[in-house]
Amino acid sequence: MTGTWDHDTAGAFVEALFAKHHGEIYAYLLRMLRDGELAADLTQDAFVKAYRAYASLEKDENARAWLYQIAHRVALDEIRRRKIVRMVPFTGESKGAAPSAERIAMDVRLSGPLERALARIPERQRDALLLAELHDLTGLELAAAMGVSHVAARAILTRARQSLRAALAAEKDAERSTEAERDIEYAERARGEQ
Amino acid sequence: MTLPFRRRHHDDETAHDRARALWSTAMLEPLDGADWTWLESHLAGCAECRLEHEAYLADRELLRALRNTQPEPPRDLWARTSAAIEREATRHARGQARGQNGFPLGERLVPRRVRLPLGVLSGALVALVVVATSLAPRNPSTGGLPSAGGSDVARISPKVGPSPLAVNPAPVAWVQTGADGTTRVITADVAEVCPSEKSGCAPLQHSAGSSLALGAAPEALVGSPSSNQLIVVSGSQSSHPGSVIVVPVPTPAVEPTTSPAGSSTPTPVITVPSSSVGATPAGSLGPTPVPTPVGAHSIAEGVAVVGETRYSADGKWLAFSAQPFDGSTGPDLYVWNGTDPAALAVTTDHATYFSSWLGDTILASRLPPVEGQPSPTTGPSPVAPPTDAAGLPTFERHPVSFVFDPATGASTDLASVDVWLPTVDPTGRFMTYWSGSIIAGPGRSGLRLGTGHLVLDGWLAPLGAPVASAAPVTSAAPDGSAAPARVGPAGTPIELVIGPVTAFDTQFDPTGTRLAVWVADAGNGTVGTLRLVVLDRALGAINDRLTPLQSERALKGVSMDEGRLAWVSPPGENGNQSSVRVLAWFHDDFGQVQTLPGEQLAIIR
Repeated sequence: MTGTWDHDTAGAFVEALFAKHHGEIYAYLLRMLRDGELAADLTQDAFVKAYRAYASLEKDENARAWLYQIAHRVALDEIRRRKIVRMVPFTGESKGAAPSAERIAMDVRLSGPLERALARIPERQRDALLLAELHDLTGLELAAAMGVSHVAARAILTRARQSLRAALAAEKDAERSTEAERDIEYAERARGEQ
Repeated sequence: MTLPFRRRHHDDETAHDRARALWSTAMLEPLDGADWTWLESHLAGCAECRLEHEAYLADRELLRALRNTQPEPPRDLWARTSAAIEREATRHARGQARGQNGFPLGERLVPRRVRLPLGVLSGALVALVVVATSLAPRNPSTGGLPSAGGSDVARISPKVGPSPLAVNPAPVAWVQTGADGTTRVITADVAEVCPSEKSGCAPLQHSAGSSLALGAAPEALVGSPSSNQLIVVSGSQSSHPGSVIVVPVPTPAVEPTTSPAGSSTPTPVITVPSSSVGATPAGSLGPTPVPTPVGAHSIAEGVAVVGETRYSADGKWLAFSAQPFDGSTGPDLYVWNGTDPAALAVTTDHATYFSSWLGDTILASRLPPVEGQPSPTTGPSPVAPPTDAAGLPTFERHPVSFVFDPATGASTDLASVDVWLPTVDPTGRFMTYWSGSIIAGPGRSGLRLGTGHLVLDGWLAPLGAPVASAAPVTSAAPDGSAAPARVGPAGTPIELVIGPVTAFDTQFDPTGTRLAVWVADAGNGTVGTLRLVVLDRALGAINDRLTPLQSERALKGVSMDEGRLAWVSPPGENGNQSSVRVLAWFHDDFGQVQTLPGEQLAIIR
């Protein structure tokens, strides 16, 4: 599907694509960025980009993976932009290490240890895990969406699973210590009441 | 069987790693037979691995359970998206109706800037730019412009067509000198570019901008950010004494210009009379009001401006370096506050070179005298100096750069020596400079780069941080008692150019993530090679993955601004005429457009 194309065709195609996939694209961007409003804006961006890039879609059957590829780039662009805002000094001294209010609010919203663990692993690995496990991309689709080779995509996914394992373990440790502290507190309170 | 060597500990680890990789892959796609067999065999013999494998499967199930909590997108998402797509389609249709392939811009795809009507743009833009003009060879016989005051429409032709990239960078402006000697300023708004890796698409006609006529060919034009003045620099590169003239910018309603679409665009016209140049004796600097219809007046006369002339970001100050035209002394740093009758010299060492603005302070370099070298004020030294290949005396000198506050006169030397012409990105993160010595020879153009490298480095002081020393243009106290806070390079330089460098120009974009590096050809200071470097601010390094412009031939005087880099291709290369070229980007997507070929072009910034 290269060469010239008319905008009606592109518009109709993107409309159908939106009807079929906008929910999962929104969910993917929300899980990547953890901000509902931003995820909605970026979902819109992704579909407008898809409209503009319609000529670059070679086969209709690849449309879903192609859409994820666009969404992936949109997400990474946003993450990169955020990193620019949160730059650290060139000298390596870490200033402003305290989390922002926005970050704290987002972290509080994360309900369970899994989501907190996901938030702890590198973005690229989280991306691979989400695309493979929640959005059912195949190995080749994952590679295309991430813009890497098939071998590299598998390697990233393997590292992602290891990172998630470690992050979940850390979450469980943290939960255990919180519970232990709570037990001590209850015990002290009970002694006080006696 | 006995192994010929001891079994290494990490052999086990390698097998476990392979097992992890295989079961991870097996969760993604089917394994081939051999891998599957090996994995089964490994798991059968490794109880620990079986436990780990089960834990991974459990994690996966946990992860997949998130599917049960599918977030609900906003109900108006399609309404917003379809409206954005509709706008794209409408804009595209308009572009086609105008005979251009104006690919539309998306809703959030439109970056920050608000587009202005061309009429407003034509007046305001000229006052926002600097013209680097010493670049284009002047050949009146080949100039191809209509007469002064006529309308010009910039025609921009994307190199490639199939997938244009919608962009919204800062406008581009350039000058073209006509056969009658008239210099015309042309502005253009770039709405789309074509991905640079593609080529061969049909040229597209893109009308944009309008023109502004100048009565003489200047070497540089500097527009004040407040849009009401234009600084015209002339004569520095010629055999006649030069000047720096302030020209008020008229209200843009003087002359109508008709666009191809039939709309009428007001086009201000400025005339700079050539009689204003060289009106006072060489070597003097002072106000010389020029009685012209547009009210121009000189703030520096009989001089040679050395290097760039630039306004501060707030438009309150203009800075440049200049020396007497006869070369009797070296350059000093001049500032002009916009209201005084003449620019004021703020150094007297005759060896100071303006480099760039850093917020509302100036970065400049100076060449301290060396033993055996004649001082500009004390006359020749009895010590015989070294000579160059032509037998002319030369001195290797070690430059010192400093931050100067024109409002207070306070100055602070950078902590490192051998820093020449530093430029700091507008966000105060990176800096570029020549890290090395300077060879100083006789005469007005006897300066050249010595031993060293053009480098990218980190900038230590926060942008806008107050400078510490109150002594104008002096180093810190030798005993350290009043030592200023350390400012300057962070000490992790990255070499930007491999090989010899004779002259260079580096410019950051406003975000500090794009750096244009222009390096002159050996033996020709007006033609060189241009590269765009993408900077990774998180890592404090060059992003090697993005190389949108690696080695492009370009005339001196490139223009870097928000979202784009513009330059003029040298004439005569591959049998082609010059053209104005623009590399523009949106996030990490890059593309190019170029004008139709022309003569006597010089980019504006």
